[in-house]
Amino acid sequence: MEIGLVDLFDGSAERDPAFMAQFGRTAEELGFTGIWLPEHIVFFDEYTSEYPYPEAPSATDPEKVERHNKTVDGKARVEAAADQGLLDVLQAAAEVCAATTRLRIGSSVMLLPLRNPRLLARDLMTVAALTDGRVDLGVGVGWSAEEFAACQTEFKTRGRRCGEGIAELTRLWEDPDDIYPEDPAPMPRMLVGGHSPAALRRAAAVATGWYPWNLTPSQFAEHHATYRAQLEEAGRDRADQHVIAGLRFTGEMDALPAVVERYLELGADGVNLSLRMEAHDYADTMRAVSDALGLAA
Amino acid sequence: MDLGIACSFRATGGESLGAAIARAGATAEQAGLASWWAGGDREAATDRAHDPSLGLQRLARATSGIRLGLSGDLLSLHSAAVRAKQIASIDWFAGGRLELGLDLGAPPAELADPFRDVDDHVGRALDNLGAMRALWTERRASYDGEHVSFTGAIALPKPVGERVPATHLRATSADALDRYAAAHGAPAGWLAWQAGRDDLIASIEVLGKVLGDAADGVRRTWCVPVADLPAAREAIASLPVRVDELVADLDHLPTDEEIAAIAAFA
Repeated sequence: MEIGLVDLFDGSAERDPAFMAQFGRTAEELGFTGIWLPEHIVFFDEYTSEYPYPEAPSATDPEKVERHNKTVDGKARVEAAADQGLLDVLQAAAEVCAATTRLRIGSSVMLLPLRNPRLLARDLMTVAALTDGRVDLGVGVGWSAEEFAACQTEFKTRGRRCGEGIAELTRLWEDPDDIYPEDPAPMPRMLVGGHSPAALRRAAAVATGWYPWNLTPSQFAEHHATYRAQLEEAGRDRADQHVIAGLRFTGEMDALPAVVERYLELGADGVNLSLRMEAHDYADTMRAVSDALGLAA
Repeated sequence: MDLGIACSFRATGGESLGAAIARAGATAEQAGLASWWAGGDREAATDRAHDPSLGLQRLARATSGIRLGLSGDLLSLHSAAVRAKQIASIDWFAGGRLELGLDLGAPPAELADPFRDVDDHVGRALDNLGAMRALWTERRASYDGEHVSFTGAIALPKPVGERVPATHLRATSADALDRYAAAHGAPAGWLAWQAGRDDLIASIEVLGKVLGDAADGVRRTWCVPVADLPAAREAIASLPVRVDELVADLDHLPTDEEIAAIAAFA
């Protein structure tokens, strides 16, 4: 069973490098497959942009959704602290992989349109070499026009730029220009985040996986069928792709096995759980999840 | 005068990249070298080397006191906010030891962002640096430049002490230095990179011509290919210009023997 944890390293004194190492080792020892790290380059106190993610599936009945974890005036908001920090996701990946031997680190998700793909190719070749290929790349197009403006990137064309960025990274890996390290490690898996029609098209056409967030099992089944059909149209094999269902889980631990099993039955290769663990009790929470799912056996 | 080392992050002899960085960093620090400079974007491309920033992050974790530098950032290739976070993150891992070297020359075409046209690389780099300085020092950062603007941006982590890391310029033309000084004042340092003796002297004359008396406060670093280190060390005493640091440059991660040979010139 492939279970990942979505959590963050914020560059605070509390979550220092020693904490990062212990966090990674604890996850590895308890049988988790990976840790997936969110990315935002900047945050804002106020947004005019709409936060688009669905409400989380209910723990007791995952076909129902629950109220979003953070709302302002009835509208969903990104679940972030007032002074939220996030370390550079690839540096954090290199740091945690240096402290572990098997654990994978993923981005959940990297805002690909903000990056120069020719520099990102070198970054990824480097992090692949530093981690012995233990990095996965969830990629997305973001939702905050404010963030895109601050990063000098046009918001309305971000989807096209994301697809072209994936294609450029793939090209540079398969036929690298003579400015890149020789004999790079295999290209990281690139999983497109989201479930919009455009995200599904990108995932099927150019990526190596799909990473939807907070879909109920029925929604997952519906979009997964669309994804599979589009893969087939593109002449690509689902067996060569990787699908991870991600969700924010806030319920009781005894409800978790059935929820996870449902996504796996519907074709997910793995499930990522966001539990928003605290620094003082993350080990207890990880152990409870591991015990509930029998991961360390 | 300080003695430092610079290299491209390229492992040799079958050693893994991470192991080579950790070993070489620890050895350099133990040998008493004052600084470790990552090769710039330009050298990484020429040497087919790994990414300078990620290499420096690993080096930061393998060391505790040596000064760390990015020697040739081509800022116009990046989004300012993305680069600000990357640099702040290295500094966080390094406990505030990071210095930033900028390369205002035209970037190699192979590194240009295929989705972003940049006509004036110097102007874009200077604008980006202004935005980065705001993100590094302001709790709710605002900046209004020609190419980048934002209001109320929350960028964390910041460099240690919420400072602007000491910013060096690769020796450049009088015009480019003049533009830099107009936007950001005198640089903290001047990097005569892989320069011969005459080029070094000429570049420091540019510094004096543009900055006047303020040039005296600019740290001067002379970087030479490692093969030229003995001659450069000998030449220092008779130079007509002041040099604060001599750096030996390699196109690969050095062996312990290479580090010892460099340290012998301290």
